[in-house]
Amino acid sequence: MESARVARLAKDNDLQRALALARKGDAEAWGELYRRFAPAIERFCRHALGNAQDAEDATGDIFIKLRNKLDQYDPQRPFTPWLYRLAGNYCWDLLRQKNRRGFETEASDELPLAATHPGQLEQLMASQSAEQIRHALAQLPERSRLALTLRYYSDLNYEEIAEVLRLPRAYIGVVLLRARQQLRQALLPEMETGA
Amino acid sequence: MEHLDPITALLWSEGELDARTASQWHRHITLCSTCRQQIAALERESRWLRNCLQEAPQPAAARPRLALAAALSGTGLALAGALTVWLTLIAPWLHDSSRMGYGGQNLLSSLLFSAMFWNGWASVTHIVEVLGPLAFLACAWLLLRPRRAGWSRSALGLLLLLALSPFAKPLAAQTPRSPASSRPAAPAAPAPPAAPAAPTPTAVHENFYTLPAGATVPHDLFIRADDIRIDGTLDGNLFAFAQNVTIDGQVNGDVVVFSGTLHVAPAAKIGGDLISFVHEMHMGGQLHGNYFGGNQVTDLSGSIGGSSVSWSQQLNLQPGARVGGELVSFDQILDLEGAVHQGVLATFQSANLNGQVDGRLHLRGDRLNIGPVARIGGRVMFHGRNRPTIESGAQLGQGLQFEWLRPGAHWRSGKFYLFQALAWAAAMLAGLVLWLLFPGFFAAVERQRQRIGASLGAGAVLLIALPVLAVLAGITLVGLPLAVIALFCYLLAIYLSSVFVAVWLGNLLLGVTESFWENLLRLALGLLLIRIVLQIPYAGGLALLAIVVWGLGLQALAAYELFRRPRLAV
Repeated sequence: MESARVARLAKDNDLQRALALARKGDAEAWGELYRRFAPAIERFCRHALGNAQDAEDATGDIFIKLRNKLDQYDPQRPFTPWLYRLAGNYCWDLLRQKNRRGFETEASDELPLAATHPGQLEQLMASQSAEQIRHALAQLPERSRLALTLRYYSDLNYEEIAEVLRLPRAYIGVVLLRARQQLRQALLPEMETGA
Repeated sequence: MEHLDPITALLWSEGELDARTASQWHRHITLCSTCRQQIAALERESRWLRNCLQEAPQPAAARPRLALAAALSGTGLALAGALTVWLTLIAPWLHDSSRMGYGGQNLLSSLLFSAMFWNGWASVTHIVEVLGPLAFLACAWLLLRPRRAGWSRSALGLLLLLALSPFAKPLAAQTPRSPASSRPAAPAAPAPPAAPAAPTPTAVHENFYTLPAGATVPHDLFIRADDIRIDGTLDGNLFAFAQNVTIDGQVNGDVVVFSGTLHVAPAAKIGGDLISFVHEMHMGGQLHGNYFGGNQVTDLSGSIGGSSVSWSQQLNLQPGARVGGELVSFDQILDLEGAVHQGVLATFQSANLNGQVDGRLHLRGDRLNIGPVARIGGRVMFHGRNRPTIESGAQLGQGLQFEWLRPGAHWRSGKFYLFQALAWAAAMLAGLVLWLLFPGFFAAVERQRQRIGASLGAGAVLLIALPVLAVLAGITLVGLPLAVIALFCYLLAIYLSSVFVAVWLGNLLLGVTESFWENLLRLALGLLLIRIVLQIPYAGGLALLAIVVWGLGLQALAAYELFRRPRLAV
């Protein structure tokens, strides 16, 4: 336990050192940051954008954006959530550009908010693989997909998610609940067809 | 107050509800099982989503090759791991066991065949049924007690203290004594080196170890050798791991022996307790404390000042032998020809009483013979499958009460139904408390029920491996608390197995439902059916084994699922 804590602290110290050097333009530090975070950011983009090709391009763009915005990062706060917020903002902007109608009038907003049925949920969880979940996630409306990704992949809190989605914090619970309902509905046909 | 609306339930489950609203709902959630179930379901879904999303996806094309590489690497690692475990742990342990006389067939025959046909299992089952609810109630109390800072630590501290208590004396014995009481030590033959100035425990690892007559060691001894002989005086505790151990001198502390044979000569004196796990034990000397042994053959011809508790294939209390306290025997064959100054509690296959017992005898077994020179002061109560034979000349001070254990006879006894009802109620209570306290665990067990092969396999491995590992861990001072905790959890999990299988059985018969009361009915019905099935001769035993194996496996897989940490995204 103690050794794990020490290792984590050492890792955090390494990260802060790499960030400080990267700010000064140190190419090696940038390489280190990219090696460390690019795979996770690419997975984030794949979930958020729904396809691998866009995710690959977006990862490169996000790191360019990171280079420009690194001065705004407060070293007193954890880096990973900040990076995910940056990535989330980028993905959200990208999705909005693609869908110029905007997301304020998504059909999902009219979905009634129903309580979770524990039995059905258990059955769903027991029968679906991670691959099927990711596949179903890609079918969801953009905002729901991004909200679920920010919450359950990036572990951002509601405040941070609200900042990325530019919504009031009080509305995030509604968005997430609807997103989970949509995901369950997307998975149900798969269950029926045994996919 | 109405139930939580879906949004509030989600915010509560994710820890995002503001403090004021949370405090408003807190009492309702504590009391309302529907809302708790709703929250638990949302929490499980959150964990599930995290696991699925944070798991790294694999490109489809690369899968077969990756799977092959993973399988090959896994097999290689498993083989390397198995080889390492064999070379570093099992082979040396087998070697040591063999030196102690527990090698090969001896060990197998002792562990499997003797144990399988041992008649005391029924008593052990009863003990588990009694200790199980107690252990469960202890856990429930720890969880449900009023929250006060430091209690958890105190409870844990108490458990650790209890676990370490056997070592308290040896540790206390390490404290320096006055120089006047310290005498030179002679720890090894033939030329014993001078003892260290300060009396500290000595660890010895040699082929032969002898403490010569006339020599004194003023501290504890930890010895691992082929042959150990104590002819002199040991003014501390003795911990011996050997093939043969002979004590012909004086040990003023406790003696703990793991060996092939242990011989305590008539002239030997042991001031403390004697604990032995040996193949053959002959105790002819004077033991001032208590005796506790798990041997194959136990032969007592000396005197024991305290009580004797033994678990052997055969226990002989020779003429002239004396036990000052109680004699508790879980031996397959009991031959009592010496004297016991208090009572006797024994479970056996066959017993011969031909000595003196001053107190009461409570006996349970197949066959009992009371010989011509038997002198029994107290009442003899015998629960047996055969009528006891009492030879002429035997003196039974307060007579003998015999209860014939005819097959099925207990079904006509009211006590039997009372015990069954209490056992059913205890299991019901345990299931109910578990359900209310850990709905997530219950749900995880339900999910794991679909993995029949995995759960049966895990259960079978756990049932056999956990006690063995716990005993191995318990040999070391560091591992002892862990072993005690593991065995405690093991006992509890065995007991709770029937609860989980009962829920499955109830659902199988009445169908799955979400209603709390209907689920309770299913649990009650399942437990009742299990109680009935367990009473069937032979088939009941097999059913019990199946229930324990499956139940253990389900709990293990469920625990693994719940405690598996989601992988970090970075």
